[in-house]
Amino acid sequence: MKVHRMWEGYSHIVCIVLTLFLMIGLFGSDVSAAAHDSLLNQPSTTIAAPPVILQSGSTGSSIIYTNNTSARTSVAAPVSADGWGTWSNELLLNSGFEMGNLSGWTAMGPAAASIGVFSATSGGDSYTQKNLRIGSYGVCTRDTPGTNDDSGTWQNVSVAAYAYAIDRGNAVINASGWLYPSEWTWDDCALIVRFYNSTGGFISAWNTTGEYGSGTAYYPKAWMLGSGYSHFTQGQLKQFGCYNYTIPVGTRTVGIQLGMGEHKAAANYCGGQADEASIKIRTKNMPTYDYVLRAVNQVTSAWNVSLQVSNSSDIYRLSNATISFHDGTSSNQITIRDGNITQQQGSLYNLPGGAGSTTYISISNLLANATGASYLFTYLQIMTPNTTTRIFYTITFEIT
Amino acid sequence: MNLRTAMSTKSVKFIILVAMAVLIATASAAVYYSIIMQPSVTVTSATISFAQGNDWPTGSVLGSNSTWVSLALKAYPNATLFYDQPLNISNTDTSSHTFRLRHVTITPITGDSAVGNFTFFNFVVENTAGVAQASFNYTTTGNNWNTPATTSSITLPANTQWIIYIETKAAAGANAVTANLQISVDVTQ
Repeated sequence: MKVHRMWEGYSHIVCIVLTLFLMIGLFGSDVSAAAHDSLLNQPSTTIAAPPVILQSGSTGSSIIYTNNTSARTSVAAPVSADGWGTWSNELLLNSGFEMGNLSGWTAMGPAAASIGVFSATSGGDSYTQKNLRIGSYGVCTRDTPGTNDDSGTWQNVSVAAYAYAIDRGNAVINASGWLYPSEWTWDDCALIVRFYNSTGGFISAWNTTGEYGSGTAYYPKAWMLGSGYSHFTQGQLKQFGCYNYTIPVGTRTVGIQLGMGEHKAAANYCGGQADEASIKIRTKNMPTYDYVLRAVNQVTSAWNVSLQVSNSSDIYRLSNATISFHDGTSSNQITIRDGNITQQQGSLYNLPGGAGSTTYISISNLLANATGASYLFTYLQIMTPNTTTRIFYTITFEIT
Repeated sequence: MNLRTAMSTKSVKFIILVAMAVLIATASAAVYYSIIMQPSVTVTSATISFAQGNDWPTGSVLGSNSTWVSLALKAYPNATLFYDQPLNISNTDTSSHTFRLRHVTITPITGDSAVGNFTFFNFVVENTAGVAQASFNYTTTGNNWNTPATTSSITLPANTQWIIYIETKAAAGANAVTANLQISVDVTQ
């Protein structure tokens, strides 16, 4: 029993020795492995409600998908080679004086009282070339001894109905009149077209020589003396005017003056004569969808948003299109010109903080040169200001 | 006690075991001598560590010694959320080191109906030029996770800090649930 107890005591030591042998063996087999350590990345990802949502607009046709984080909007582009519509009807009243009077016109200048219509058998004076008229009546300045006869007739017309196209540079004007200096050597004529804003303020003018700016309506500086102006032909009415002239942005009224002058004040001579004035306008038919979608903030934080193209198809048929943000100010985000995407991504636009703050999305100046359907696949990028953290919503624009 | 009884006792069996061990040990090594291994272990900061990115997500925690990080990320339904600069991995050593990303755990576990609320979380290691060095993408198929395989070794140059860029997306109509991951960044010393 003693021996037995003694060996029981040593057995622990022997076990340890054997274990050491085993460990040394294991260690020896792994002696070539490199040392490692590990860092632990422990992310948690929580699904949250979208901080900005997409909603349908009031124009075009939109589909808003689940969670209001993606959308598709469809608009139509007119198909035209150049987009220009047809010319308007005549905007002047009594444009050719065929009413037999000055209805619609205002006679102005020192010889205003001597301005009147003439026909083959009435009006004018002995120097009026009564055969030089279109239709039954023309207009002329009769001789008024001892005065400066540089006078004329004037008519203003409203073009407010074309304001939308005018303010986008998409409206042009034809404004013209037929003129003749009655007494060839001494008389002169002028045709002046003036553009005014909504309060009557002068914007700019077009005149027969291009020299005239602002000034007194009835006393223009760019008269054309019959014998000194190569465009006149003795014994013929001559048409002057501006053609396809882009109406200045902001124009709401256009005025036309038919100037009929007499430079020889001391003698009894007549002045110039005029006929068949005209003002017509045409606009580009490039519709704008002011509000196809909107991005509405749901939280107190502000965001910076932008649109960028991710893919597209059949853009070649689109002559013109611009996708913009607006809410007081506007920012062009994507532009298409002549079948090419000329701007792929817009600059960052502020979506103000606060639930309900809104940025509107528009598609403007649409024009196609062929029928079909074009697609722009875009991302609405919603970025936390001053960071690079951003959310992408998918928006598809279909332009048929 | 006869011989058979004596041989069967525990003591005698143990003696035989020891004798055999000694025999084995002495049979393969004639002479032993001892050398002394005298290691000293010094606590130093890790040369490879995490660092906060320029757009450190709100609510995230960088553990002491920067060897552990808890990132609080979001995912939005049917929209992709990009964290361009949430987290950096930094080598402060004068030598380059290699590391790899290795999946450890994720909850809810695969098969749980909550898994289907997610579409993907992608962790991308970018070098200083913005070129992706590795992508570690968790995706879902129905209610199952497709966990990424351990990346191959990536060499982080000396005195360099790279970005771990993250993309998340939840499924359309997703519920407000949270997924917790553990990703080990194994560094070779």
